[in-house]
Amino acid sequence: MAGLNLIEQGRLHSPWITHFDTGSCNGCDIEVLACLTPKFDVERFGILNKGNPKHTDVFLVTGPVTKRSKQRLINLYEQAPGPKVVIAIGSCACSGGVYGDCYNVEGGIDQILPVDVYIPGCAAKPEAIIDGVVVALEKLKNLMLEAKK
Amino acid sequence: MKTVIPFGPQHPVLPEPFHVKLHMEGETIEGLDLQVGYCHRGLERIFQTDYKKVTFLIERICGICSFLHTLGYVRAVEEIMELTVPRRALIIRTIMAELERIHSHLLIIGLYGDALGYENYFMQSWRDRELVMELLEYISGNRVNYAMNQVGGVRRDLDEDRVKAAHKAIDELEKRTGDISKVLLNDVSIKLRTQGIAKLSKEDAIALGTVGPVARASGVAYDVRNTGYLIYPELNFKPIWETAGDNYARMQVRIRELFESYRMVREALKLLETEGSGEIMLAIKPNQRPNGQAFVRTEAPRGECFHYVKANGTPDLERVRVRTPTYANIYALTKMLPGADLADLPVAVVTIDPCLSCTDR
Amino acid sequence: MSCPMSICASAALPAILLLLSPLFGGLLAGVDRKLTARMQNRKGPPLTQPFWDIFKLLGKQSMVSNPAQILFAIGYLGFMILALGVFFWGGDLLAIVFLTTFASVCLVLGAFSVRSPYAYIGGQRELLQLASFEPVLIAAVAAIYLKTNTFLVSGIHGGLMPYLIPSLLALWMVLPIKMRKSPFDIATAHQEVVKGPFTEYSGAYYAVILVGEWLELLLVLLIITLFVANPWLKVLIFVGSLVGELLLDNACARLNWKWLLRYSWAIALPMAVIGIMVSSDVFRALINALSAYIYIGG
Repeated sequence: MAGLNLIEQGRLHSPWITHFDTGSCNGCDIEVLACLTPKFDVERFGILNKGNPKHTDVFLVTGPVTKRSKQRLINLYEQAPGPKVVIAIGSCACSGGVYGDCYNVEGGIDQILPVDVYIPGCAAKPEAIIDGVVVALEKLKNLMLEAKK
Repeated sequence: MKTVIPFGPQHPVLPEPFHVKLHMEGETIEGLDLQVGYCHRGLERIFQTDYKKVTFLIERICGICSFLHTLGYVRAVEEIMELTVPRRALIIRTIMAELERIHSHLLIIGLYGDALGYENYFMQSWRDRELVMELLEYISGNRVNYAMNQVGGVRRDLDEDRVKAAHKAIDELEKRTGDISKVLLNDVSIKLRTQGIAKLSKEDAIALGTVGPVARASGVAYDVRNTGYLIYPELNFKPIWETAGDNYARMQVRIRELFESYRMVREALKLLETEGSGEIMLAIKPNQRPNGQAFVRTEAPRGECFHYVKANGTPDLERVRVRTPTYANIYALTKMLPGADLADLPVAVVTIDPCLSCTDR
Repeated sequence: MSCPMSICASAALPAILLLLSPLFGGLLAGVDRKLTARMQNRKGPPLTQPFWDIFKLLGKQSMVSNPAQILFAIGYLGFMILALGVFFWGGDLLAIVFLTTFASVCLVLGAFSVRSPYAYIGGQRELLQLASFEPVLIAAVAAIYLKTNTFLVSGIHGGLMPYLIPSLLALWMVLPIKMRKSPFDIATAHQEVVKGPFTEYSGAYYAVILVGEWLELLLVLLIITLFVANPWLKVLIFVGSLVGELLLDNACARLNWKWLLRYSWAIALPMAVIGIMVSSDVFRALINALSAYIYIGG
């Protein structure tokens, strides 16, 4: 990759993920876990499921943000060192989905955090999730190249 | 040294968010405070809408036991409207329910291996689970949230190709499950970690109202499929139960249920072939609306699930109430865990198979 | 006869080896992840993956809860580099053992210096792992001394087999503890204590700890190669220990701390003590005298 130093290339080759469910039906969460298994195997891209917000680069968030999860989500986001990427997986995370009218939901992750990539679907398939992570890495690469100019 | 450790809602081993405050003495758990409610979206309020739309909304209470919720709901509405569902639809519903049980048990068996620190087991069992996920996608069009049920029957039929694919998938799965179950039941390190740990006595299981494999592993031989809904009476269904009540017994029950489900799917597929083609959906007139109330019980992969529906002749339903199995099972953690180590907490949580999105709705 | 694995007396070679050791350690960690993935029916990351991890971590915002953590992270890496340096210069095995102990203690102190329950429990478990591994290592080093009359790495030129087979077996038995692999990866049990003593490190300080881990892996495998003299056998035992360890990791679950102590104190330590007895000249003389007495007397 021309124009990027080793550290920046490292960010594209080794994105560590943390996954958090803010109140979804759990369908997308199971598909995220399925991405780690042999059929889809995201470790080929250097992705590790770290589960520790202090070691994470990519936040995979599902669910329409119930009022009780809201503060937890903000805490987790603030604990993660930069640079970091937030990916909203599933229709609920993108816009509230079928739960958009419910009384206890905020209505999508972007009401709380800045979202970089939206992955629609109910439930989002593992292929779509992998595609979304690749798009996020492309976006990160373009941001780093822009910053150099 | 007394410490209080917060566990969840975000933790590598938890698939669903709930919070436990552990009161620890060194590494031994002395007591715990449960806090659920992170998944409470307020779904029962939005179910007060057109009864045909609710079928697709109620599916999204939970992504793992989605078919069961639609099954319970449509059975309740059919009971209110006094509909007789075509036989072919009943057989297809049984096949889908058992396939969902298979995918759910394979999921929790994999997470059990992961909780024990045996990542290889997690990888192998989820690799096998992909077989049933591909089959479900072939039959219904989606891996999760199948949208197969509707009031009056099912929406999609199983043609010859799909029946052949189902037979092939079940045969391959049974062979592979034979291999992974041998490891689960006989491996020395797994037995050392799980036998005799987190026991739930029969009296506690009955007093707390636990259901499903959690109760059946403690000697309570209660399975709602025994009451004879769908076509279970023709499939010679018998409940599967153990008496030890520890982590090992709970997984033993699930493994044996897996093999039972393979047998039942095979027999149901054969019944489908002998039935020949037929109706799968009753035609319901637009002015035929439910008026009354009904209460049905279904056996979800996690246990007994209640659905109550009340309608009053208007297009919108008046009330839908769901009582899910994990709602009953999760309190059992406070009886199982005191005295156990911190290392046994993730394993015990996985063996009760918590589905918090069902619990909180 | 010089081979990179045998200890040369020349001054330049040890310095080059020490400089190259992080690279070799990282490749070893990469081989570890790739082989583990293959055993799990997956493709796995490329072999250079650990280096990309380090580059990325160096570019992260470094947050620490307590500045003392920085000191302990650097202490961990520093003591590991010193230990490897002593090894490559042919120095004292006892010094190497104590330097690795200091490194692990730095890790534990770093874990205790934060007010995080997971780091605290991880620190306690790391201490238990230390108490399980170090006695066996010291007993093995004592057995080597009794056979070769020297603690210096440069003075060991073979002749250890077959007398030191019990010591080698004991070291193999406690190898999973040091390599943080099932059934004894208790301190960093991902599903229980998130990352154990490493939970509160992030960014560049976590990169420092990762490099320390690679060097620890390299050092313990190199100590095992001391038991044989032939260079090709050394390579075989190095690779064989790594592959055997990965097979064991992928074939069993994690046990808990009670089993860790039972296993290492009741099984591995007696095996190492047998190794001391078998390698000691005094002991063998005693056995000869006893058998002569029985032969003549009976």
